[in-house]
Amino acid sequence: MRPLEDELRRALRRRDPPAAFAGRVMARVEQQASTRRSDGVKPKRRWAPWAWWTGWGRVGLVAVTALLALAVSFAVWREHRSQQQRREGEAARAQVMEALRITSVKLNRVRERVRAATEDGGHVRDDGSSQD
Amino acid sequence: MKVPFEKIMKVFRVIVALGAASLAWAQSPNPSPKLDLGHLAKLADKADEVVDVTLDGPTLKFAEKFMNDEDGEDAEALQVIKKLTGIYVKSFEFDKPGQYSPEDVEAIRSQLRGTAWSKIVNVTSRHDHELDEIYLMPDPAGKSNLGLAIIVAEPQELTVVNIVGPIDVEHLAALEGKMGVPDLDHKHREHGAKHE
Repeated sequence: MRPLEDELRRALRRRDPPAAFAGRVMARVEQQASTRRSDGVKPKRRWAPWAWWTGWGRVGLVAVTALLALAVSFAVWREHRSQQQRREGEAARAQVMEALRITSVKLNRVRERVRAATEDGGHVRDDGSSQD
Repeated sequence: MKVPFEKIMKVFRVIVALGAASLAWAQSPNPSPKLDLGHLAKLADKADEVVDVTLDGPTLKFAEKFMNDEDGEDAEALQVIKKLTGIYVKSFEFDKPGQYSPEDVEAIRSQLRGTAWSKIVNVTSRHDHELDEIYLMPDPAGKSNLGLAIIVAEPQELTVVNIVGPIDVEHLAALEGKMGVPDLDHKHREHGAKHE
């Protein structure tokens, strides 16, 4: 077992790369990148869950949010206005009823007084007026 | 041919008289069935109960939209108001007599004097210190009325009603007891009978 261990240790021992190795690797990387650019092939991006938030995705989301907010605001305003109009309309209707009620009551009260004055011996003038 | 001087002067006088009459007619204020009730606002502070209804034409039209012509009360009211252009009611009830002055009433009556308004009912009770008057402004065309005014002045109550537009008084009087409110006049009569 000893010779095998020695051989393995020898094979796996740390060795420094040749002096020009780093330069050759960088040159190769640069060469491949320039080849892709000249072919019009875009480098493949890695998929990232936040990728949609950049560029048009962000603009679209902001626009959709703004439109939604606008639509909701419009609906709320319209409902509020409708309720306000309903309240005002009901108030106006109540005023009409109250005015007609008072008018009717007073007309009948005056009519009753004319009748009572006539029956009690009061006199009624030609124009319908009466005096106790 | 010689026209006599007297004849020329006669024609001239007629022309001047006609011109003056037409000018006076043109300048006379067009009587409006709407009364100025603004001076009564000050009574609100003294009154125990105040009813102040001011409904002009657009408000009446607006109220019409919220009235159901299939509902009994609303249908009756709609019949009355559909041609009206204004309803103004001021009613004040006081806790003691003497809270309004005769001048307050006179300011309204003065607007109702003249040829435009006709007083159709006038009940004055010196004993009870009451004054009831009903005025109508007839349409010159004779078709209908242009307005109605009611003044009911009692020691502790003053009510002024002014309705602008063609109004059927009989129809209006017949509303009492129909519009979901008790026949107050009937109650009033019963109340009076008990006191007697």
